[in-house]
Amino acid sequence: MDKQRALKICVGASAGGHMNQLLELLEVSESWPQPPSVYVTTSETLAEKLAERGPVYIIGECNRKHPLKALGVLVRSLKIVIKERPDVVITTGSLPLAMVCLSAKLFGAGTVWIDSIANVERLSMSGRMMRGFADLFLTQWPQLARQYKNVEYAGNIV
Amino acid sequence: MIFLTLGTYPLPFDRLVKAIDKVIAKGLIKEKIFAQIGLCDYRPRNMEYTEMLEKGVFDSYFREASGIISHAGIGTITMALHLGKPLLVLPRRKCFGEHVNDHQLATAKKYEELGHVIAAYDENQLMEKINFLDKFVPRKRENQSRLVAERVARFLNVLAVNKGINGS
Repeated sequence: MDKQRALKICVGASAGGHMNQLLELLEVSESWPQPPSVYVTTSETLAEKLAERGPVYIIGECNRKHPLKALGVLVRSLKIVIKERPDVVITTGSLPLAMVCLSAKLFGAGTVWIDSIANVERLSMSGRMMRGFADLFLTQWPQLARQYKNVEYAGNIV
Repeated sequence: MIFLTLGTYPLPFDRLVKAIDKVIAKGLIKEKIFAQIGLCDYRPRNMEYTEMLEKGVFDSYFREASGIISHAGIGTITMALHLGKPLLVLPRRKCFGEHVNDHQLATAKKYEELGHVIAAYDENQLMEKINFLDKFVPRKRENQSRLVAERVARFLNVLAVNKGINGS
């Protein structure tokens, strides 16, 4: 038992609604064994605000229409994971953060995917991709938890 | 003042800005509108606008507005609900190159059904519904963020044990 070391938590979200949801969650995260020590986001928006909490990495935006950009995000994600070696990544999406999860997973980290509340009728595209990888997969709509296997509903953040 | 915002999504949404500009030109709305147009190519003729406000300035516009008009993005919807602002949304659509998919359509329908927002699904509806904005009282949304955080905490504690780490 490595008593000296605390659980290293990395949290991340794309700028915009995803980040709002993450910040709402962090507001009430006093039950976590440790506060997060690494923050990842996709643009300068809120990066300054996050920097008050700890080191912030900006990985850039990408979506499935721009595979080259996505590759860039993946490379930056891998670099962060190699440097920081988190034990777990917790995210509210979207695709760029799925890259961080996958990178972290490669290095043995746990992953928590909280699908954005914006996905009402079906899980997000990145969520569907992550469903096979995430160690804990939460949706914020009860009907989606019934619709998909290995997807849990624990409440809505916003 | 009504505040028009298109959120931070990195694609333009000219359709909404054009429609609101037209609403003002036709004299369908009396109240002054201020717009943050983001990446739009279209330049409004009938309202004051800016491309992107700094976050603090954005927040004060949002707080001071009597109503908000926006895309059906969760960031904007959540903020409007927090501040109890009447919100009229027009979902970004994939077919117009405004988003990569049509999830904003489903978001708009759901939040409309729950009484949290007014939703318009095309420019004509937008023109009709803009006048409901000053009378609309959004239904409060309860959240269970603490329950979600606690579920994550249980996972983290199990993970710490599995990794042989002293969690807390």
